This record gives sequence, C-alpha cells and structure tokens, in this order.
Amino acid sequence: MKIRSPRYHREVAQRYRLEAAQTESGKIFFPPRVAYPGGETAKPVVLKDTGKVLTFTVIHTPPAEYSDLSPYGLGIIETDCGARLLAQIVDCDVEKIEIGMRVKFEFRRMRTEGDEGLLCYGYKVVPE
Amino acid sequence: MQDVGIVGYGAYIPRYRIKVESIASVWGNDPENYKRGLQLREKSVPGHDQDTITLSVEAARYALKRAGVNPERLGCVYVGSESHPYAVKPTGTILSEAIGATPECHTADFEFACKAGTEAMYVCYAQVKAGLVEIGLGIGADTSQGAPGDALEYSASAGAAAYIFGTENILARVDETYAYMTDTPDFWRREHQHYPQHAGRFTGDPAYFKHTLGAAKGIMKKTGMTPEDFDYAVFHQPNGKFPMAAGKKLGFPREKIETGWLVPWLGNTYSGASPLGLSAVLDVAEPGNKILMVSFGSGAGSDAFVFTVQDPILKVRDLAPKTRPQLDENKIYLDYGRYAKFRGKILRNS
Repeated sequence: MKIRSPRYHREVAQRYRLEAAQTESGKIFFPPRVAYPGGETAKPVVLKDTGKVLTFTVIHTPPAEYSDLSPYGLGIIETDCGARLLAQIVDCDVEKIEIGMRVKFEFRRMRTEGDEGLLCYGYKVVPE
Repeated sequence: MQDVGIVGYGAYIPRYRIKVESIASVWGNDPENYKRGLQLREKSVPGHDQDTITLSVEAARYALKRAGVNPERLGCVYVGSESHPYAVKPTGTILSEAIGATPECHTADFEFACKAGTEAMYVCYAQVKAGLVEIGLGIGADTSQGAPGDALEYSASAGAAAYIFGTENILARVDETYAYMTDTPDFWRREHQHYPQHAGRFTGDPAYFKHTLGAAKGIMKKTGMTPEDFDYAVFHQPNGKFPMAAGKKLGFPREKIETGWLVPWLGNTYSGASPLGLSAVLDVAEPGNKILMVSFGSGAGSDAFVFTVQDPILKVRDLAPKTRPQLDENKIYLDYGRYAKFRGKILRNS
C-alpha cells in the first residue's frame, strides 16, 4: 500500500520530532488535537526521547510490508514525560524485551515503498 | 578576525557488526590476509531500517545536545555522502526537518566519494567565517556498499559524524584549512550501478597517498607546523594500513594516530570515516591540543583541517554518547546471511 505525499507530509512533525500538546491540567496528547476534553487549551510540547516499555507483544506474522523484520517487538512505550505511544522495538533480541525495559527513541526508516515510491521515516525505540 | 570552530559534535555508529571471518568463509578467502594485510577485524552494518538519513539525524541530535543551541538557529545544513537514499530528493531536507532546523535554512547534499563529509564541514565553516550564517551543521555519513566477494566488502561500513560550526563557546577552533585535488580515476560508480568499481593497487600511491600526503604537507607548510606540533592526527581510513602508512611517511608516531584510528573495528565509513576519527579524538583531547585532520575522496582529493581544542569541550563532551563506547559496546553480530538480507544483496521477487 502506498502512502500519499499529503498524508505523509501532514504527519512529519509527530513522526520526525515527536511534537505533542499538553493541556493546562498537564495531560499530554500525541498527536495534538483540534479541541481538548472539557474545553481545555493546550500548548505545544516535544515528547522526551527516553522512556520504558509499558507492555509489548512480539509479532511473528507481520503484514507483508514488514515481513523482513519478523519477528519484531511492538510495544506501548511510556515516555519519561508520561505520554504513551505505540512503537516498534528494534536493535535487540525479541527474547530480551521485557516490561519496564528502558528504551530511547531513534529516527528510523519505517517503510520503503518498493523501488520507486517514498521512503517513509519516523520513530522506533531501541534499548537505552 | 573572529575565531570560528566546532561548537558541537556528535557521532553515531549502528549496533550491528560482521566479522571478517564471516565474510571470508563465504568467499573461500583466508581471513588472516585481511586481518594482517589490511588490518580489518570487523565492520559496522546499518540495520535494515537505517540509512544515511537516519544515521545523520542521530549524529546531528547528539551534536545539538553538545552545542546546546536551538536548531532553528542553524543557517545551513550540509550532508556529505555517497549513499544518499534518494537519487532525487535531498537528504538534507529530511534531516533538517527531523532536527527542527526548517524553514530558514540553506541545505545541500554533497558528493565526493569518501571526501563528501569534510566537504560539508569545509563549506559550513566557510559560511560561518564569511558571516553569512551564525551557526551551521556539516555532516559526513554513509552506508557504503561493497560488491559481494570484492575486497571492498570487508571494509564498506556505516556511520555518521556531525559538526556544528559557530563563533561562541568553541570546542575546537579551526586554525587553518587546505584542499588538494586532481582528476584521478581510482574509484567510481556509474549511474544506476549498485556497487562501485576500483582500480586495485592504483587506489594507493597515485590516489590515497598522493592526495593525503599532499594535503597534509600543504597545510603544514601553510601554518608553519611540523608533526611534532600536533597531539593527534586523523587520516581517512579505507583500511587499517593506509592511515598508519600515511602517518609514518609524514613523520607522525603511531600513538598520535591511534586515537582516531577506528577502522579495524568500524570498517570504512566512507564520508563518515575521518569525521568519526575526529569525534573519537574530541572525546578525549585536552584544551590546547592541536589536531590535524586529512580526509580523502576518490576521484580524487583531500581536505585538511588544523584544530586547537578549547576549554568548553570539558563541559560538553559527556552530554551525548561518545564514539569509542558506541564502537566497543552493545554490539550485535550478524552472520553473512542476515548481513546479505540487511544490505539488500539477495535477489528476490518484488
């Protein structure tokens, strides 16, 4: 499946730079929204690039475009600023992934659209 | 004239490695030939999701941590590589976006075989010195390719080093620069070819040594310095033997070269090679130390720099991962099969 340039471009701030928003009550939204619960306003923040594995699974039967990576870890990562997001866990043996494991975000190529399409970049996590 | 120098630096080396033995066993070669003759033991391999852009971004982020500057202040971002992932679409745009340097930023991708990294640094330094930009970023990065079974396969590796140049809180002042270049067909890759060609032994004396020694002698003449005046020397390192031989011919003792001599464990990171050697030196150098750096790119030419290390380096060098620990720790060894898969060397159905 090919991603369209406008969509890819629209998500760059989040996928490249982890740009999020924090409401007055301290809640972090990633990606930022147009409106926030309770009518709160939010200011732009950048997520901390370190965190820990909150929970994870190991994918043995991936979608076709990720088949080369099998098996790979996919986890919910809690950043050190408290945001939770889904990320691939790479550069480690899947047997060694565990809940609570310290990780850091790195810039990686997420997808390659054959020999002709876009190269899509974003974040994954690696053991710290 | 206001001093200009390195105000931030960062190195990034992927975690994957392949040993010379693993490559030699596939092609029926004697690994001792490469270990003794070319002084290569293992090399870094980019992960399947890493390329020149991702390596550059990580190195640039480390450089920004050490520089402590807002990336929006970067007036120029230059990346030198011979493995830019796109044929048409600049590496620098994705890199600049990822580090938050856009949109008021002059960006260009450089190519000059293994010299592209120091070219990026050279032009970046010149921009700052000319007063056209306040601070700028120059990067050397590569995920270099060697054809399966070719001697280059034992050395072609991956890594990146990023340098921010500026005028405030200088970590290493640029004292002088010098460039030396001729038309020498020692190594090339034509459009649409996967792997480069090289002219065997012609890559030695008429290419690497002529230009490396020419640039080193040229900058020493320009500055009135001799090998005794330097504490460290970093040369382009296509294998373990060449930089040591170049140093010996110039009169540098082995111990002045060893700190920036990463190639036996790292391989040849092409555009990243001499910049990574420099980052390993900056990790340990003391204020007042003088560093000579000479790159080499086939085709062929060399850029030379003389740096003097400054006091602020002591305060910032621990703010980001250092070069040598990235090389020596957390390694993941690949067998040839996984290496071939990672590097896209296996023919497959699309």
